[in-house]
Amino acid sequence: MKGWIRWKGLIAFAVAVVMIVLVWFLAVDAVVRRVIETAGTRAVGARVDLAAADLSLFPTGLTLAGLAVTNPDAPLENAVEVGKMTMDLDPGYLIRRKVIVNNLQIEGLAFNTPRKTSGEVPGLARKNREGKERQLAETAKAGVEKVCGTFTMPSLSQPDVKAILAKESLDSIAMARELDQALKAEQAKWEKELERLADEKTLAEYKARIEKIKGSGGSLGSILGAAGEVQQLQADIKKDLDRLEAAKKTFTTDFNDYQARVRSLAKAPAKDIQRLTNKYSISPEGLSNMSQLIFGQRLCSWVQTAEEWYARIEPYMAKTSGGGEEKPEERTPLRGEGKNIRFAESPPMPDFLVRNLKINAALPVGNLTGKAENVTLDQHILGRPMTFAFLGREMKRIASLNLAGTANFVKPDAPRNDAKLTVKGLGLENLPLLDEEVLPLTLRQATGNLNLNLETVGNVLDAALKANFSSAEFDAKTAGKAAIAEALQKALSGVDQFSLNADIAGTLQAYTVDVSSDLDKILKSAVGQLVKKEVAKFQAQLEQKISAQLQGPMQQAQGSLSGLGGIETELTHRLNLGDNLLKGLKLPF
Amino acid sequence: MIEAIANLLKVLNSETEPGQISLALCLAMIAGFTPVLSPHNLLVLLLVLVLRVNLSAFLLGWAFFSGVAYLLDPLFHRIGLGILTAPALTALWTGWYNTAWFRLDRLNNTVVMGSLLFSLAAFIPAFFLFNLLIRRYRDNLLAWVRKSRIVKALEASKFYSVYQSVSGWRGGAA
Repeated sequence: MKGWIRWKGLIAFAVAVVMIVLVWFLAVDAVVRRVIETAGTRAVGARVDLAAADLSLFPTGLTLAGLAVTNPDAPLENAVEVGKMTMDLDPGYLIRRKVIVNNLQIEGLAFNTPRKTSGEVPGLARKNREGKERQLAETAKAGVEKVCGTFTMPSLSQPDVKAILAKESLDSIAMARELDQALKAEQAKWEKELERLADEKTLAEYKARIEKIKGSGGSLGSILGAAGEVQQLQADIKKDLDRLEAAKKTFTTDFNDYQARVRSLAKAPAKDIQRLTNKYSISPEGLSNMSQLIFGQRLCSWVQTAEEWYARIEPYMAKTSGGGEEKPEERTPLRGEGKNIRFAESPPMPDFLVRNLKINAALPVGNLTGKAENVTLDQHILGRPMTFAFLGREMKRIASLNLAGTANFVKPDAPRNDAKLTVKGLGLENLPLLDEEVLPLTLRQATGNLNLNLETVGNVLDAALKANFSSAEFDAKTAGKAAIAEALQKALSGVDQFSLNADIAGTLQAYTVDVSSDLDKILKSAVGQLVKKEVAKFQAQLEQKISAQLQGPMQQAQGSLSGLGGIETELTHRLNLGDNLLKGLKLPF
Repeated sequence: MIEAIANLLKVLNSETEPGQISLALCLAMIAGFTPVLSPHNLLVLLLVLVLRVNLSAFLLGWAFFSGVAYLLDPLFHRIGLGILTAPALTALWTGWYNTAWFRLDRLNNTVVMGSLLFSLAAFIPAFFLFNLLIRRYRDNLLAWVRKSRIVKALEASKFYSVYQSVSGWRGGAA
């Protein structure tokens, strides 16, 4: 046995291990830096630079300094820049190839900072941009179709009735023409029907047969033969009279219906007038929610931006990588490297988790500090949602900001998220509200406090915004001679403070933004009477013009109805003749 | 490389115990078939250095089996997949999956598990097979090899000078 053991080998092994450890220590920081830069660049589609990385074993941690992530759409700008990122790693899980960060501190976080050199990576940038452009185009299109396209200011000036009637087709005139055509067709139909029914000629033939029976002799045999003929004749006349009776009944029903339709033509212009009023004239009802028009578009664009960001993040948050399942799960890495089979863990732990995150961000509006817990893309494995809280104090144009919430993807198929935002002392300056030609409106200045409560359950969005503004100053310029626009401008210039409520509800793909404000009352009282007068004037003009246009087609329809009345006279006449014949037909004994 | 081949030839042609060469080749099989950075290869390295096995045989075997491993990867994957997903063994793997050594060695990877199991299963049969082949070589082929024209030609080449330079080294155990 002694011959099989080489004790010097132990020393050689120790030396080899020391060498490996030494090389690792000397190279690991550079390797980590390189790996982060390479993987980050590939993921972002633009250069990711890292000034330094320091991986330590005791205590286990990683410190990154000078991380700059290029904005792939603007290569001379960093989308995100981090001054220093300190990670306290859990060594136990690191051995199990899991990155569990007990504490992560991010300092000097800044967005959209300038770069000295371009961060574009040609091959990657092209691919990335194409995808983003397609995505943005789809999102923008969907957005327009969804909500924002509906915030259209009605015309505040008196519409030109002549021009409107020249381009609009009127339902009342179309109805009159249709009715006239229908009456003419009915006339033709009944004229044909009359040909098929018993007419004067047929009835005269019956009369001749009666005379013939009366003139046939008085023998017993002839009397008995006449009785049979009389019965036959009675049956023939009765049959024709029944058909005439049925035809008259049908005709009368149809005729009464046509009469009613001709009478209703007189009321038809009212519907046209209402439709054109709704389309071309501002209505008192439309003015009852002017705040929807003034603030809706702006709020909608903010909601859309938030929704776009959520749509980008959501697929990562809701992804399921397994691991917490009972059954072994296969994961397919690169070809030739086999598959990693995952088994149930106790306790289940995601591959990447930040237990506590602290952020100090330098935003254009000021410094923002925040913290988050349970940051991971695999909440379904961890079984706990991510919570976050951000705080901003004495920022530019904001006295204080509090944002707290939960992103709960523990059940990836039914995510529940909520956030509460409180902003105090928000200073608004030169905020464009309406880009309408007739009444361009800007909020020149206002100071406000706002509360936003937002909740998403699955695909359903529910949010409520309550805001109060003081020291408000609106800048409204009227174009043209619209009396209503002038009245609105005057009313807005007197507004010093106002409140604003917005309810956002629906699904993430199709939601509505309902805005209400005490401005509605102010504006309505300022222009309400004026609007009613303008609308009444517009409707009177419409009624006059439409009635004039309708006169011709209506007279035609009435004429056609009169023509149809002749059919009834003829039917009555034939029935009377038939009845008289029948009364005069008696057996000769 | 030439030095290692020369050294192996010298060992094969010497009175070195065949078991020392066979064991080196079997350990090389584990190190070669399984991914080189697998932590269990540190244990293989320890055994190679502590046990009196032939280092040249180990190095050459390692290079040889590493090359063969690329061809056998699909087979290793199938073996690993079959073993790791066998319902009867799920409880065992689940228990081991929750241990640090199992995860550190990436034994939940089909290629790692398949290649390790394959090389461990083949270890003892291969040991006796290599022993048998070395003995057969020495009994039947050694004399013929020494007289062959190829060896004569090699003796006149640089290779032979290398062979000579190591021929004074201590037999086989190095």
